[in-house]
Amino acid sequence: MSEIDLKIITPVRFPPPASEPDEIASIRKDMLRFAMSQLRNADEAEDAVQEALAAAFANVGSFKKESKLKTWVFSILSNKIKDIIKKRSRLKHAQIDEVVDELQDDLFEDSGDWCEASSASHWDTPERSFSNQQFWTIFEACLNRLPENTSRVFMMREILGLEKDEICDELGISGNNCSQILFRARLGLSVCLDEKWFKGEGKLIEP
Amino acid sequence: MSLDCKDAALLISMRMDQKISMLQQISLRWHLMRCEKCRNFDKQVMFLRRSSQRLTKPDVLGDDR
Repeated sequence: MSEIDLKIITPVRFPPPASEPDEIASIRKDMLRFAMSQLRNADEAEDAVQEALAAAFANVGSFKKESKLKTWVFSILSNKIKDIIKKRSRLKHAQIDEVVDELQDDLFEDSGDWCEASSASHWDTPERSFSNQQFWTIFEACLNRLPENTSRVFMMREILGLEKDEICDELGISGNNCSQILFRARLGLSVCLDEKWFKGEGKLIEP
Repeated sequence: MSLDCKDAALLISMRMDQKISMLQQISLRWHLMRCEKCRNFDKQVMFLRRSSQRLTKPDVLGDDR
């Protein structure tokens, strides 16, 4: 770590063991990565992390020692990201109506049955993947491969935990459209994970 | 009301976000009893939720020493 970094970090008085500059630097790095994965915009991600850290420092008193520092700071960051996404969606909700249904055509026969080679296969004890860092890399990649609006709606619902109605309101879309977008996101993710992880190489490397 | 897999899959997704009608619930349950692929998709959708929720947990975001 450079001396300049140290200067920025050391004046901050954090309860131990968080006073280790290394720990804060490493948390900051993870925060940035997380914010980037959610916002996909370097400036906004940087701002979110700065604001979250500032809020954390300002409210150091409310930090309970029994909760992990990282967990606490991340919950603040999650809220910042939620705010940014909400603000952003208000600005450009007009774009969300573009609907691509190719995926559903690929997955289902005209009769409405799943195609023979569909992704609706059995994933054997998928939770085992949670401990594998590679799984998360693939998960994020799959999320990023969805059309931008589709992944945004999915993240608002599943990662940030907003209710469907809140999302419809925020984005100015109908409930029906919202359901369709979430459906598409889930189909897309299941196809991607099935192909790239559960059927693919990833599974072989799993410990 | 008889569902094809495409309808059933949409309901499987929808019930993650809202209450579906009694008729839809019954039709879906009936369909799931007979359709393995839709049962798989149902499990996948729930797994996606569990995964997404873990995505914000710090231990996923990097080495948590």
